Amino acid sequence: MTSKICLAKNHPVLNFFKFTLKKQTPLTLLVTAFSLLFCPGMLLQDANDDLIREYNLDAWAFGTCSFVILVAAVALVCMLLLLNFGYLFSKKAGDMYSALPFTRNQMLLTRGVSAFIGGLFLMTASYFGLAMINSLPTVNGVSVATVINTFLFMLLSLVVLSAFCLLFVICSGGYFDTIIAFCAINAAPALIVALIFGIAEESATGLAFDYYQLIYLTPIAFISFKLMKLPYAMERPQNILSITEKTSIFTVIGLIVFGALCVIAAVKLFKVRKSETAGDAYSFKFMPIVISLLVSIVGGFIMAGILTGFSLNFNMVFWFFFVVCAILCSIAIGAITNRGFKKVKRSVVNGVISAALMTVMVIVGLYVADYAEHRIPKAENIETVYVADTEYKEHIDLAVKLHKGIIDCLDAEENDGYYEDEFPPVVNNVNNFNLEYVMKNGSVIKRHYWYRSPDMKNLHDEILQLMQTENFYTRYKACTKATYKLIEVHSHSTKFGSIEDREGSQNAVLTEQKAEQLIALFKKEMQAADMSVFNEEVYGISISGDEWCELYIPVSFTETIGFLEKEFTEYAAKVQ
Amino acid sequence: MIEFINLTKKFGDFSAIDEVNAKIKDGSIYGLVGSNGSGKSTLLRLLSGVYYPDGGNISVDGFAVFNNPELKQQIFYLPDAPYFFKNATIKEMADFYEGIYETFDRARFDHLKDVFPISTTNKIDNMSKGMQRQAALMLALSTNPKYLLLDEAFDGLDPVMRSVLKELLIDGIETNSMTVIIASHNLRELEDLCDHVALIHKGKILFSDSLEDVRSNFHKIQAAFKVLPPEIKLHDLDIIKCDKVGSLLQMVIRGEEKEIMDKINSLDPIFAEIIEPTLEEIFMYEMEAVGYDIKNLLS
Repeated sequence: MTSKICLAKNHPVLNFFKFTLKKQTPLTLLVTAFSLLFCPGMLLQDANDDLIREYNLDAWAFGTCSFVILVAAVALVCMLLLLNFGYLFSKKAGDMYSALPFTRNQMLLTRGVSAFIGGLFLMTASYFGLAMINSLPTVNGVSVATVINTFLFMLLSLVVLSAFCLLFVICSGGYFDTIIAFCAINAAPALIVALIFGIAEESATGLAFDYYQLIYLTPIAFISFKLMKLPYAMERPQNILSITEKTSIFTVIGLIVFGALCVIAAVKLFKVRKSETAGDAYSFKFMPIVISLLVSIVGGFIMAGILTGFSLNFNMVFWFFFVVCAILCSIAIGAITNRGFKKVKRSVVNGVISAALMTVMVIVGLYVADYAEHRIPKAENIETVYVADTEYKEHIDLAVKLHKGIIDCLDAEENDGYYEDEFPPVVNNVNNFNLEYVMKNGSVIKRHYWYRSPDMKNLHDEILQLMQTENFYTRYKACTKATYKLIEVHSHSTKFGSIEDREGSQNAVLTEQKAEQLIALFKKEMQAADMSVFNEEVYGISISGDEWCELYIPVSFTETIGFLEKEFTEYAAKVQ
Repeated sequence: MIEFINLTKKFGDFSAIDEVNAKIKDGSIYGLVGSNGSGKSTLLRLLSGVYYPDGGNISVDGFAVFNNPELKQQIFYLPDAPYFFKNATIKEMADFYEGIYETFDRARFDHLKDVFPISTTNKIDNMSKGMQRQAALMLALSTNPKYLLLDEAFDGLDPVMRSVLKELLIDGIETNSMTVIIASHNLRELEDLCDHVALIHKGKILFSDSLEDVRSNFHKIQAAFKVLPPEIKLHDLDIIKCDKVGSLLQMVIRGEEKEIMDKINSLDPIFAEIIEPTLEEIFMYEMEAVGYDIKNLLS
């Protein structure tokens, strides 16, 4: 028998990489086919014959499609990572793969990059279809710069999310455990912070947490949110979007840094991962503790909410249920992690710790909320202020005075509701008393208030001053513009306070000039008005231009009302 | 050469391998025997780079195995439960190994296809345990490793295949200077094959020596006396076991044959004869010495 030895013509790492790619090809093609059905498939179905004539593919639709493609790509990468690293979950398979002549880094690289390539293939194929539709001559799509930048952002996102998802596969010992860890670590922190926010908002009047900030707690939500807004941000002026919504160079740098950290962590953890942990729920000791804490807190809270009928009454009964449910959830997750009820005592301890941690966090949150409830920033530190979404850069003192008055009312009043017969209809023009301070140091403080009688009668002076500023009327700019259509005016109340009564409603169609004239008349009469407007009934109308707004005109504003009645009469005659 | 220096491996608080020291020369067939859970498979996994040692080190030709692809190219580990890709055939597995192991010999594989009576185009998952073992051996031998690690290699093989395997291993050693390490309970099989043997118990190696030296150090003596000599007369012999049946003494003694026989003969026996113990008997005697025997386990 000959013993001819095959000379080293092969490249084992490259061959292993090719083998892995080949093995994952069927799944890649299958998921890509599904992805193409959604995008651009559904887009084509939606456009239908309009593709031949004219189809508007606006930035929102483009962003949504891009988001769907990225989700599909990441889902495929996750599936392929589980396929390629599934050997870590089996002792038999682990023996074979771990004995192969590769370093840990080579194994990680070949299997990890293969999975990423699968996702990249899907993303490129689907995005190419989207870009092709966008480039059709009959499609009013987004610019080429938007197409390119969105793809580059998606590429970066895919790299980051692939590395992030890889961490869960490396740290887990089974498919089910990977899914539990992934869901717990991605969802739980945001849910916990949202719960604390919610409790704080319930306890303190006026606090307005920007729940969008929660996206910073989960990379998937963060990237998805940014991606969906990106085409819109690129196609429209920058100042329309908030800081959270914008994708700046800092966003990109942050993602690169986060992605790099994930890759480094994956390499380090994979290197030290013990092969003998195959079959255990998690291959590192910190994982079960973290999962247990997160699941106990969230599970305990949800179950306590169910048991108390979601009354949002955070009394002793609720907290009792929370503690018990947290312990039970800890025992349950411990049973899953330990493959049986072997370490019940430890699970009970974890449950108690979780409950204690959450209690501490809520108490701290309540203290912070109480402090924030009464906090009024100093005028000299404020860059600009928005009241009911209108900027009042020159009237910061007025806004601060209004804020102080509201706080005094809150401290003084004994009930939560307002009395309908004491609600001045003209206040509807302000709509709400939401305050947003943009500080000189760049931070933002937000508060949400609404008119609450009887003590807010003391604020009528400030409210009237607000309605008499020039800034107040900037809110009507968008509804007095007509880019795509004419401006429609509907009256929905005639000389009485209820805005729900539509009896005797009238209509008119205005040009931009006429709409601006209407607002100018209203402003003139408001700036000449006195405190008696708070005792008057109002004449309510809605104006639909590029945006929609409402106007509540006191009955003493004869010029404004006269102008409107003339327009309604002329329009009625035209229609007949 | 393979060397274990104070090698330790722990699983939690349990020491599966506890400061093991041993040397395995190139070109030998090294039998690793031991009780259940003694650490045989763990030792093989450490040697193949599947596990990382918690203490000491394990070196092959002076280099550490773990994370060393050049060295692992020379090692092929066949576990007691071999793993194959789902729905793969032997041919597909061979194609895979050919791309990974630079020493894979396609001609040898083709030859082995004729030796082992199994189809290379049928799915391995559908084969019996013995056939799967044959498939695994076929692939292992085709990679032409310098170090072949076999865990329970004979398990599931019929007697004919066992003989075939022995021949193939010997051939591999002779032609390629292969070193084979076999972990097994089947001491009768190892006895015919191995030239070195180590006995491992609770993570520790009780002895590691050539089979010849092991056998030469253990002797079963049957001696009949008119009057049984008092125990004190035999105290300078390293008696592992001694059974009295009337005036007949059956003893297992460790030491030089000549010295032992001289001593026995000095006690004026009616007759005394030496019987070569089998490896299985040596195993049993050594286990008895450390308390792992039938009487202790059943009591």
